[in-house]
Amino acid sequence: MSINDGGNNQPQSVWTFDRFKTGEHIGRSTQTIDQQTADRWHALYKSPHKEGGLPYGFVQLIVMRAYAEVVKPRPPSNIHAAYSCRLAALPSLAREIQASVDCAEKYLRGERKMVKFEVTVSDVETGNFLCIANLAICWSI
Amino acid sequence: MNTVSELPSELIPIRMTIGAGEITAYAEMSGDFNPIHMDAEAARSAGMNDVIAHGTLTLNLIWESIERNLDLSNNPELTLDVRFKAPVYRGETVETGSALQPGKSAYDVWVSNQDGLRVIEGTLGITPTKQPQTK
Repeated sequence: MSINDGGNNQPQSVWTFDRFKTGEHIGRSTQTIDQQTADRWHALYKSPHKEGGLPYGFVQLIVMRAYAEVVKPRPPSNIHAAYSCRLAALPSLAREIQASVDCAEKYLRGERKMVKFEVTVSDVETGNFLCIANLAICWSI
Repeated sequence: MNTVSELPSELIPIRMTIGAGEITAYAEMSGDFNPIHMDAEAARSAGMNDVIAHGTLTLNLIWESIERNLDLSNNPELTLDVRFKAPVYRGETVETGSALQPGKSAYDVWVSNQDGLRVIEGTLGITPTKQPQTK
């Protein structure tokens, strides 16, 4: 899977809880799903190949890839606490997919620093909406 | 797409033992090389007993279970909402579970480890895609 971060002006210092702003757009990742990545998925999950489509879980992989690419550098020891998504359609091989990453919310849960990211995934060429996902991360610093 | 009456009462479970190879393979695919997934010392520094698997590595088993059990040919909209309840340590075996919610196009879904502890828990909703109206 190739990734182009679209020239995001990423901060070079580690993202800390204090730096996040609720509602702030953080960046975009443009990804193209290649056969090699699809093959690796099938090898890992022993999932059957299906004609003309990718596994449903692949959208989640796109979401995580976008998060890892856009929100960096991250501190070690962050813990993924929750995940939700609304999946409307699947991407296809060799299509350009764009994922936009926003900080949806930051809050304290007891002493835990929580950051919720919203990732919206769409097909670049058609503009078709594929998925919107929320990741709640327990931020370590 | 299955109607409510056609949905199976549960999805056939999928089991996986998550070793170092699986964790590395997923890190390379996702680009998430958080040290708690890669380095035992770093994981212990973060309060874990050992390296832990990515939560979404394990969560993908639920997606695989959905895909292998349901007729999704009409591209229904799927909503998945889960919490990661406990870490999955390197070498553990996990298995998906599910139960159809009575009268609904929705399942309670979970992943348990070899001790029966639910490490992921949540719900899956299935909404049929609106078909074009015909005269």
